[in-house]
Amino acid sequence: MYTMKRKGYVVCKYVLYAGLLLFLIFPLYWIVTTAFRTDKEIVNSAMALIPRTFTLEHFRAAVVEVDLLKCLKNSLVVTLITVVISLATGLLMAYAFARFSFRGKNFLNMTILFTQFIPAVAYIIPLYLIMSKMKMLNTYPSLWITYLGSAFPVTMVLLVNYIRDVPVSLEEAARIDGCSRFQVMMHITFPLSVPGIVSTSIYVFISIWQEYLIAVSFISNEKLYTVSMALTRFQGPYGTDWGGIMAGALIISIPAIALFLCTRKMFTNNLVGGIKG
Amino acid sequence: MRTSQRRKELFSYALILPGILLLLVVVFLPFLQNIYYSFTDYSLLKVEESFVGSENYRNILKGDEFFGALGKSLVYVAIVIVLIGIIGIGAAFIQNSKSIRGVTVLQIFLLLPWVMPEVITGYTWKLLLNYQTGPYYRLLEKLHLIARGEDIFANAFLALMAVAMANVWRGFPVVAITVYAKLQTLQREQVEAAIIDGAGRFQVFRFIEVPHIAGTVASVLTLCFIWTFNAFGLVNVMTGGGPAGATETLPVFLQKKAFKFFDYSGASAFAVLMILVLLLVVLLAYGVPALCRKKKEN
Repeated sequence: MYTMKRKGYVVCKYVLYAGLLLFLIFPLYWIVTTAFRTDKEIVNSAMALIPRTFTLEHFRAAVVEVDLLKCLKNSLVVTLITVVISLATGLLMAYAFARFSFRGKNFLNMTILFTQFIPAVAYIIPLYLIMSKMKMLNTYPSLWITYLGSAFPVTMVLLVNYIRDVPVSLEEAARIDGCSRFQVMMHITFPLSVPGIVSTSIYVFISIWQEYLIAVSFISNEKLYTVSMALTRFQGPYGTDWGGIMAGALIISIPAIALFLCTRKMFTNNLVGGIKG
Repeated sequence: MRTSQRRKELFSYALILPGILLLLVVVFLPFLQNIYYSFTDYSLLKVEESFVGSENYRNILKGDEFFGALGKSLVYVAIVIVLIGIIGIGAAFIQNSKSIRGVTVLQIFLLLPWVMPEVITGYTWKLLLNYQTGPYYRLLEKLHLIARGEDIFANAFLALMAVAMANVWRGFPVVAITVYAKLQTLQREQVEAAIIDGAGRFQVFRFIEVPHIAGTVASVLTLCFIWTFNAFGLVNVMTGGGPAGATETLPVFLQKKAFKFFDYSGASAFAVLMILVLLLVVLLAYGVPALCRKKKEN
């Protein structure tokens, strides 16, 4: 009797698990298969679950006609600049937070936590107006300057934990050997936090890579479209090129997914740590 | 000794200075300026702004645009958060279950929707639910959940549900992963002791696991609430606010007001109200349970 009940319970769990997997994976499967189907099959109202046709035409169109490579370059430049500046300023501040106590530390800590809750819409209108006065709209800086507002606080919060993990005893030893505080930080602590720095960079890279609201509000020049905006170009007056969108979606996800898969464990820890923070 | 302390403090101020300047320039000053603009009449037509007091706020609160968008936002967020919570926590327990094999498959795919650019989720779900050709559309039609030949994105309620489902797909992995991480920190001895004492599976769930994860669930759902409340890309890509404004949530409406109609000060006032709503909900979500707990203790 007990085993019967237990068996039913396990079967029930497996059914739920299968449903969950299907819910999670089917849209991903649909992206991939649509990208490789011919237009004729996509438009056909009886689109089969298993593709009957195969073509690379959509990828050609995405690269040649929509110039997705240009958008990839735009996003790459903007995202990398954002990550590098957030890291440079974030590392210094995180070091101060992890190692020293100073007046105003608690207040600053609260402020930075609060910053993460300020939605972008609350500060992008003035930034937009200033940039428009300075003729800076439709430039790379208009994007990365604005992105710093969301990238910097996250970077800082994540880095504090990684720097705390470096044993203080190593720093003390270096101090006794005659290193200045600055030298200790640069030559001992930062090199030892490299894994944390890398995983933080990847976490921030992925979130900035996909930014849409600011890009779509600040950029109107097609030459400066970021990857998130690029896909709108597949929507013409005569309908939507679904094959092209999905091929484009695959291309622009590759950098983010590749970076994520390289550091899956640490990425997850950052996510969990950031939320507990 | 004292000079060393002084120098230490000076050193730390030097370290935090660049970060503070950065935050001031890109967040706090614009944020204050936004509040200032909300009391002026700045727009594309009137570039020399002048102070108009609370006129923008009175106009917004008198009209039904703000409350309309707020209502849509709240319905949308409520649907998304409830489903994200149920599916996310379910997924966490499935990962934590010892009787299920092959959860690695789930874990590998789990974060992909969240890692992929947000707009892709929008396009994908739009295709899945696309009139007549989408597989989900055909499934819904077969199950008679939608009338034959009805376009989901032309129906106010269905369009909102469609965007909400896309958001759930993208958001639940975050809950699944954080709650699972918390479940793994549960001491096995504690559960075993309870089972020896005669606790059933449900009692373990109710009296050990639920209290253990409650705090994590609260904070991750708060975060999801903020993300969902500010969700712009998904809605914009899937419906653009339509049909006839049925999915025009607060961020979508605000973005249009500022960057399509160039009503800067109106949009600024709108943004301030939006943050106030956000703060109010977060405070209620945290404040009320804390207050109840205090009362109980007293």
